[in-house]
Amino acid sequence: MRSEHAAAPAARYLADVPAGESARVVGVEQGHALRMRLMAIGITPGTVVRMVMRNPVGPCIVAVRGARVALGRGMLRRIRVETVS
Amino acid sequence: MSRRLRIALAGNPNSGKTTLFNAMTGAHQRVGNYPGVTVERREGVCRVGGVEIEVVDLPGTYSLTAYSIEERVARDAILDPDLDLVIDVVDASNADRNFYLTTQLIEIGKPVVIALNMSDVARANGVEMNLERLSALFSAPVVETVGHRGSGVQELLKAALARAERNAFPPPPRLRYGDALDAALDALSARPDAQAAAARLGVPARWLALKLLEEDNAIVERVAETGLREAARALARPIAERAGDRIEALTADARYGFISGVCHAALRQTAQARHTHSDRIDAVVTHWLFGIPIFLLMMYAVFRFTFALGEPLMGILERLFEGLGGWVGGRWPEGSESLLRSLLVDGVIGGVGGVITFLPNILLLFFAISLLEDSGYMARAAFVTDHLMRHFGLQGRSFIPMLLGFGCSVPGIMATQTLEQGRARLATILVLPLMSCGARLTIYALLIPAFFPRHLHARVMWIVYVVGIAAALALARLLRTTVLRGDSPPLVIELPPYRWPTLRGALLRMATQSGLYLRKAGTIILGISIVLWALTTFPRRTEFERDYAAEAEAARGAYAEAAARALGVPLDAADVAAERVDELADRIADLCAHFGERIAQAERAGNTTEQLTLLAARDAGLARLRDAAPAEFDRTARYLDEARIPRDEALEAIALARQMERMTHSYAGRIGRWLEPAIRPLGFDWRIGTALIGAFAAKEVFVAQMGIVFSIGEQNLSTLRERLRAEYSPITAFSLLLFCLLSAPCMATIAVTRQEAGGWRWAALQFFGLTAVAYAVSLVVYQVGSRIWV
Repeated sequence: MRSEHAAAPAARYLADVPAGESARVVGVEQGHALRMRLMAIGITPGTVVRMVMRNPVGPCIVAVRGARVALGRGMLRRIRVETVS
Repeated sequence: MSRRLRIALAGNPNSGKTTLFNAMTGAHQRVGNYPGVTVERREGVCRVGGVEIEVVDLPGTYSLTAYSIEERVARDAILDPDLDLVIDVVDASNADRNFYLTTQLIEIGKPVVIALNMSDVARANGVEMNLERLSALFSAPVVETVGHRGSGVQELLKAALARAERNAFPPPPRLRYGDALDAALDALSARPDAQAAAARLGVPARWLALKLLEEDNAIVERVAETGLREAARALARPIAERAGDRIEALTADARYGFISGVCHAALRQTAQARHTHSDRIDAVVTHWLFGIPIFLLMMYAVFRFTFALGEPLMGILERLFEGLGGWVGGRWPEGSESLLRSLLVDGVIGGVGGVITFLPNILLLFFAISLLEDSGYMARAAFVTDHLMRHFGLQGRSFIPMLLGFGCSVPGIMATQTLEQGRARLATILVLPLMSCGARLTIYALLIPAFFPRHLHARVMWIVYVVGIAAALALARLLRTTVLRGDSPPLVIELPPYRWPTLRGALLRMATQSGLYLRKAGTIILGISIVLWALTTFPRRTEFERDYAAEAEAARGAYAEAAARALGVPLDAADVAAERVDELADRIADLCAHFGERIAQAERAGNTTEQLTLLAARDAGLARLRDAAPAEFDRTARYLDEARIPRDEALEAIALARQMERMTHSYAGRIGRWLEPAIRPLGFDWRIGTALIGAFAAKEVFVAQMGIVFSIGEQNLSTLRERLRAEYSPITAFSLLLFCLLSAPCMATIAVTRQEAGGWRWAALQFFGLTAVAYAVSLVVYQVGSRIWV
């Protein structure tokens, strides 16, 4: 929402981040309730997250604020991120 | 001086809240449910300096919004005017995320005490904490604790007591939400109707204003003042529009801003070590290829542990109840027709005993599950199975309860407590009885050898299990696209660092869970047992078609004559002579029975060598007995064969025939007959119908019930099988196997479903739904099968 007009080269989602790399959360698309859930668990705009483990199928493990959080694919495709400089 | 203080423990999942609760209250705790929902409610009592403190352990939550049942329950408990204080349990090694809840707690206005839990881990990870500064920033006492060692617990309770008695703290800090929102909050909370509503709800006006602006429905609907609601909406709209986002998102952002200020001022992270150890374990345990096999191995271990250790204990309890039944029954003269005796022995002791014999399995299961849960593995199990289960509208966490259902549906359904509330959990509960349980194995063990050649036994059994699994998954999918339609929320689950589980925690959980099971399921099952007892007992048969007493008398007379002949004594001395050889006769009979069972087992297994070895061993044993006193032995053996065994068999047959006549006459028998037209298309007759009614009490009752309707004792399985083979076709048997697998689960399952799903209507849906499915499947199998094969 907030990032709709961001001048990023291409929309990137957490689902595109390779294992071991970090990214900064820009926003979450669709579903207010889900977004609040993510916020409560620490995934807010501006937070830097790291992809700890990604499997060929199924959910991935992400490092957020010192914790490990498993996120389903559907969730990863809704979290917009940008590259950390 | 006796004062009572009520405090609540709030905190994130995995913050060690329950460990701290256990350390505070020890064994003085009660577990129940919050009214109307199945969220577990734990309460306990402890004493500090003459004050009795009631402690409520709230469900673990990350925030206090209205989006999940747990959060709503926790918030309502905090808003309860009887609650004096909230202890916020914060995982010190993960403080910034945990403080999100803290920022919400301090706004509610109840006194808050912060417990920095697992402070030892935090220190080891290089987190330095400035407690004084933290305390000043949140305007709340801060106490360091290590829950699993119990250190800091007394200090925490004393701090809570001091805070409740005397407020030495300035009002909590006002979080800044940005100029526009702050102005709106000030304007709204200054309104007289806002202050009136806040006073009625017992909350600060500013908090109420915040919830109204956030459009938190659970709070908005408690505000009757429409003018206030309108005003809030009018104030919120332009702010949200300008920010391009919802108010709730803005406040969440502001909270994290406040938290980063707090962490900056009061915490210092000198190293990043918290997860390296866990990450290394996870690299294997949650691996895309190894994850599932490791999970299955863990589950197999739980399964083996529960049922291998539980089985002998169940046997002991069964014998105990049999003994109790015999003892109570013995208070009446032999052959007594007392209704009270029958009610106590068959109804109450039989029914309640049936419930309690499950207890060892439930105890062990919850012990094993809490070990896995506390170690952090359960979250990983949900992770690895999530992808698979999603295809069927279920969740990763549904897998474990369903697997446990193979042992017994009751603990399986209870284990769904580890699932998130919602439709996926309900679907799991409803289809769980389709996982073929251990009790149904007794039915298969009776029917399969009776109707199918040996080389097909394993295959038929396998088909039955696979049909159960396929039906469970298919029905879960069906439910999730019809009655329980709705998106599964995508997986969002924290994977806590692996920890050593504590024995104390596991034991406490085991004790409280089983208390809950006994109390809730026990009362319902007792009721249903009595109803079923009445169905098989009434109307009572007082005049029988045959004179059973005379028949029994004749059998005893024939025995006396045969005994006299075999022992070579006059008829009037037969009893005395028989008594003298009874001990030897017992030994011979025991020896034959002991070997007979094992020989039959070897024969079933097709192990000829073993069979021959056992036969030889039996004969050697008999020869040893004979060598001691050859003449005595021969007389006794003849007495056994010609007098004692025929008498026992005749008396048993008479008793069974009498029982059969009674059963036919009873409501259960009548229902069986009444059902016959309905179940005829499945290939069943009234006798099977009557046995199926018994199977509802407990699946294993089916076998005993079949024995009664065919007047063959339960011990005589092979005779019963022969009778069945003569009466029914293999296709009827297969139809019956599937019916027993799929149909109405036993009453213990129904009772537990009602308890866990939160209502009779779900239990009814399960009962009638599964029975309908069973009917349809058996109908097709029998109708199609009998046309193809006959």
